[in-house]
Amino acid sequence: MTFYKLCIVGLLGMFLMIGCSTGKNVVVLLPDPDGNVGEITIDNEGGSQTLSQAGQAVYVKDSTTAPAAPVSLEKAEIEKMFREVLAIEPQPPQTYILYFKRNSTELSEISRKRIPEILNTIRTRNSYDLSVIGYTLSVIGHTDSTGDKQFNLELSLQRALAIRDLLIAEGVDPEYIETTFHGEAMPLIQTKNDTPELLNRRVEIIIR
Amino acid sequence: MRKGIFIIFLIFISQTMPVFAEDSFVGSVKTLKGSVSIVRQNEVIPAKIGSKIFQHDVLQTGHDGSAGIILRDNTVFSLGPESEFVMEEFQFAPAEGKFSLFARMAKGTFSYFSGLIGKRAPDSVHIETPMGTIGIRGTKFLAKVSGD
Repeated sequence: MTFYKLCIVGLLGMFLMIGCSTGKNVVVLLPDPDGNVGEITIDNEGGSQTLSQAGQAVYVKDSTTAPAAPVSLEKAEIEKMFREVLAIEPQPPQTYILYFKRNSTELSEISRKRIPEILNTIRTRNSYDLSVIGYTLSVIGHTDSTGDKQFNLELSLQRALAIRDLLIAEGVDPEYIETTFHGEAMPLIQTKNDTPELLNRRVEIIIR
Repeated sequence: MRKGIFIIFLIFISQTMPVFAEDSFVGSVKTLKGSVSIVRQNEVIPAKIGSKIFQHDVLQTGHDGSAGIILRDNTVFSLGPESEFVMEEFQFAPAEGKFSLFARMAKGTFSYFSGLIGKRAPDSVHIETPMGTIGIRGTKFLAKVSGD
């Protein structure tokens, strides 16, 4: 009888030890929402481990013990361990790009038709955090580049404001709209100076 | 002359601050369940969907709580129950090439997926935990942190 008791105590002790050395801290690498798998490294006073395959996990006892060799976890195991956190994950932000007529705060016809879809996304996502970022690179001219940059800075601001006003008019709460502008500093497509390019005359709306 | 001043003003604000954000926030609470609070300068504020997150804010979830936040560069962090997260530092100014994301996962369960900082400047992302530092190259991960 005492022998059995000892066995049970011994087994319990082993489980506890396993629990201590492996169960306390764990990091699991997953593919991002686009399906790409990057790399993570866990570094501490004891050493470091790098994970580069989806589903790989590394257990770490504490900050002075080297992270254990990576192991593969089953999907079900991951889902069990992280059930609540996986259930609360927000959808990744969605970006829309609207294009403008030359030298104007007026939307291109195609972009104008996308407005209802954008408003629908804001509403269905119950979005409380928007960024409206204006860009422009539109002016053909013979002025020097400094002059152009200043003009474009103001035009990009006016474009961002035009979209902001449009969203507010549709009932979006202004408190949650952040507006920034960059002039011609961040083109989508690299061009020579003074080149008209529809794809750069744009406002980006990021819906979070 | 007045136009010149306006232009200087425009250049100045475009390089420093967003136009209308009265105080530059880091992100906001996007999803929430149960009890979740924000600790800001020793004050405990109940978190709601839409609550703004600022630098140095601490996010805490109760035993029934969980929350998801999205930062201005599109980084997404989620917290499971009994978790504590500190938004130590955040800088996102692509025009100036300034990127910095420093967060602390003090205890609990977490998920992270990269935003623009993680994609454009992965070396600028620092995530601290009591067991060590997590370095990330554009991806998603889950972490369980015991907190001691």
